[in-house]
Amino acid sequence: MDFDFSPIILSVKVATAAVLIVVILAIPIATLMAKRRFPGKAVVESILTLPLVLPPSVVGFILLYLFGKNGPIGKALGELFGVTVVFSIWGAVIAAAVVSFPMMYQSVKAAIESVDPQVERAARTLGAGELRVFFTITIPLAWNGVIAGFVLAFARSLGEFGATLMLAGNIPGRTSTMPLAIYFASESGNTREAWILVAIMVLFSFLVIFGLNHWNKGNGKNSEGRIANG
Amino acid sequence: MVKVKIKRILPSFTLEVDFQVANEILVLVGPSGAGKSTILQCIAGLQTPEEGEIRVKDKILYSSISKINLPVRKRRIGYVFQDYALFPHMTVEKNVLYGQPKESKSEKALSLEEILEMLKISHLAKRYPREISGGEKQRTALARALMTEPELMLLDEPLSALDPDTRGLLQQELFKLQKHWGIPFIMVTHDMQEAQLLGNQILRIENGVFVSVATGTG
Repeated sequence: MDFDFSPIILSVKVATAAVLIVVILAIPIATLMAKRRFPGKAVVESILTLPLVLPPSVVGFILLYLFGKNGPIGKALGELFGVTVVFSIWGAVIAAAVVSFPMMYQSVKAAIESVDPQVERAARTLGAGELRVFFTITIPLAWNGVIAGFVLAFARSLGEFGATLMLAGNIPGRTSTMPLAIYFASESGNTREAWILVAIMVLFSFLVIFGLNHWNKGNGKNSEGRIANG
Repeated sequence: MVKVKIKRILPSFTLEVDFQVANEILVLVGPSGAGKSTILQCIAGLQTPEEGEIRVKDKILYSSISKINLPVRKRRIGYVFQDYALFPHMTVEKNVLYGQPKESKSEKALSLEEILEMLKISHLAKRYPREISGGEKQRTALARALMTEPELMLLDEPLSALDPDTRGLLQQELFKLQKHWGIPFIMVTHDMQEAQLLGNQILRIENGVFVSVATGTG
């Protein structure tokens, strides 16, 4: 058995790191966008969801410019911390985070907008400050959207190909995640390895969609109880 | 004693009112859209008036002249919303405890058990809002507001969504609660009968101004 498991382990690592970054950024940004009005909001909204519609190669090209050795962010990172993003695992993480951000952002924003503002007002009249309202009322009531966004962002991160290839390249054991390994295995005629990785991706993606659908159905019947008891 | 003198510019008219409430029930009546709820929201701090002053006891909650505008959470006002606004993901007990002060400031303060007992909802403590009736939700909302040891209670059409029997029962209990707590209650209703039954003072409002003042039987 000479099967190389490194793409699977690497993919899980990259997707986990990417989703962590996405959670930290998307929840506060989605909250601000759901609650506040400001000039130019529509433009900001469009920029935040742009990676959803842009071809991954375009995202990859822009990221390569920004994080390249002489790019504005890449240069600063290199000088300050000695970190190189391009052709490293960090490149794969950043590419995955950028393309999966809109999944989490949209899901969380929609969920927060659906929370009854009257209930949040009630919490304020009961003496709660904004942070307490957010953590004890808004987030628990928007929990379904947070979980759905999390799962979709993770799946999207795991499947990221185009931008990763441009920013991180295909270095076995370092940046060769499952989708890249499948492409290069297929190209080089290594059909057996490609099939194994394809089967794992299909099975995982199926479980994600099946699980989310099943879970949504359960919530539809008893939306408040699910959060309350869970 | 509560003193309210505010001016609030609304899209279709300007709300301008000036009134006082002692430790009694003041009822605001009038057609919908007359500005009744706006008055309550200004007092609670959920809306900010353009001008005026709001005082509860000696504390200034809002003053346009001294540029004071206390945030909602610091006003110590119990607010009962028309649609109850209970927290759907918390049990009755958790709802009632949400606003309990860390240190009790009032000698009238009651424990959770006493408040649940007083509002006859002890047996519902572990239920969720979706599992109880409208009248029970209203009792929970009242208990939750009273648990904060408020210095003033604001009630926005508290009984309008209830059936006549429950409504009659809760009218009597509101009356008793106010007597027990001895704090001002300001209640909004569009039902003149209810206003006369409960109000010590009745103010009729139309298009943002008081058109008549009456004394109820309450």
